[in-house]
Amino acid sequence: MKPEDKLDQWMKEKYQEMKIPLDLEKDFFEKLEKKDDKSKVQYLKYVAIILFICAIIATTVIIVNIVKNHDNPEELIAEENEEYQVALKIDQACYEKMDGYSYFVSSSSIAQAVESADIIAIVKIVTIEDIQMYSENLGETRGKLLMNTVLKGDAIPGDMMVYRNIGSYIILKEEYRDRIITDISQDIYSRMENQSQNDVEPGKTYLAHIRFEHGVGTTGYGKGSLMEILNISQQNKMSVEEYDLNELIFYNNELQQTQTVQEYIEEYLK
Amino acid sequence: MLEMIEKARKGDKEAFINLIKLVEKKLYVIARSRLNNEEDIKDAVQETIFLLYKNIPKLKDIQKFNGYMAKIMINSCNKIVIKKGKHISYDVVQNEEFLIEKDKYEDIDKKLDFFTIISFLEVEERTLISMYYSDDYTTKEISKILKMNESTIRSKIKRIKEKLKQRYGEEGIE
Repeated sequence: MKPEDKLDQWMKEKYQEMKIPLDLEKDFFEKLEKKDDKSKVQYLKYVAIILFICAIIATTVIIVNIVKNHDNPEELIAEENEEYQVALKIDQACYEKMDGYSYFVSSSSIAQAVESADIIAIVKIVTIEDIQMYSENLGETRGKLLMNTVLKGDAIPGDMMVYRNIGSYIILKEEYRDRIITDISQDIYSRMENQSQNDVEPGKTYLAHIRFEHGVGTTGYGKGSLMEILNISQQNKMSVEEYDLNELIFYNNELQQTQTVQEYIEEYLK
Repeated sequence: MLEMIEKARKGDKEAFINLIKLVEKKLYVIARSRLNNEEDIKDAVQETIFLLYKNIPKLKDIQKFNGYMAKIMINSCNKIVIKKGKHISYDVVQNEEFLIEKDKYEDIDKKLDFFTIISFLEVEERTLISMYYSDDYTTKEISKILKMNESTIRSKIKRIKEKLKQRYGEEGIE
């Protein structure tokens, strides 16, 4: 026998001689099933805890949303309005409940509009829901707008606001007519249509100067209050978008030339 | 044994108990090669038996039971090592004096048990050589369990044998 074989033999003998001091308890195998059950119970416990935590989170989110929407009834409308549905009518009671409207600032210069505006933002006009004659020759529109890029003030992109725009007239293109919820009498419609003022059109994007006021707000249409972004086409679907302000072009009705929003910021907001 | 595994797989508790009795030495040897404390060894073995009991119905190929069991056993030992926060050192038995003056001790051989003999080896070497001398695993199976190449396993066995020879003589202590 080779020495190596002898070593192997010696080691194998040692292995065989080895005693196992492993002393499993007598009822160990009976406990196995219980332990298995226990581990199942433990597993169910974990699942229950996770479900409980999920339920708490879901409840919290729901409560927070309810409170938020209670504070801001427009929020609900905003959610429903994602797909731009005409059914979003704000009833008169909703207007009455509100402390005030957001007006588009009317001013003699853009600098003045910038100074008196609570919010300056790129907004999208979502709806026109009410049209009236503010005075004999002055129209007034009400509706909702969607905040996009905020340049000044406390608004947040995605905020939906009720606006009131005095002095505008409405271009009622056929395809957008169904967005106007209030029945407009032929008389008002024709009178407003004949006004040679600027427009508010649903689906369009504007650089807007907005002021919150109670009661009667600004009248007349001035410079800089609402300037259409020319290179964003009229949209049927509303969503909050991030824009490159260097790309957005509007017609500055004070300078009577086109300008980018970035140039506007540098000229008026800095 | 395969029949017993098959029965245990189908939920026969009695067969499972008998199967464990058959393999408990294998379990103990692996645990003992990696852990030093008897309590830890017992915990690791019990945990392995529990995991086998729970998972044996999922075993698709009963031929692979031995390897499957060894892997669980090694994992259970590793868990204990991690739980204790550090590598558990294996007490090397101070048997050098026996070897130097081996003529003086006629019963040295009796004093050396398997684990005392391999106590000077590294953990992985101890596990490997224990499995090798158990005759229950082929080098191929060991290579799969220890996640090493089969040729690496063979060369490691050769090296371990060299170490054993150096320490205990060519033929072991006679």
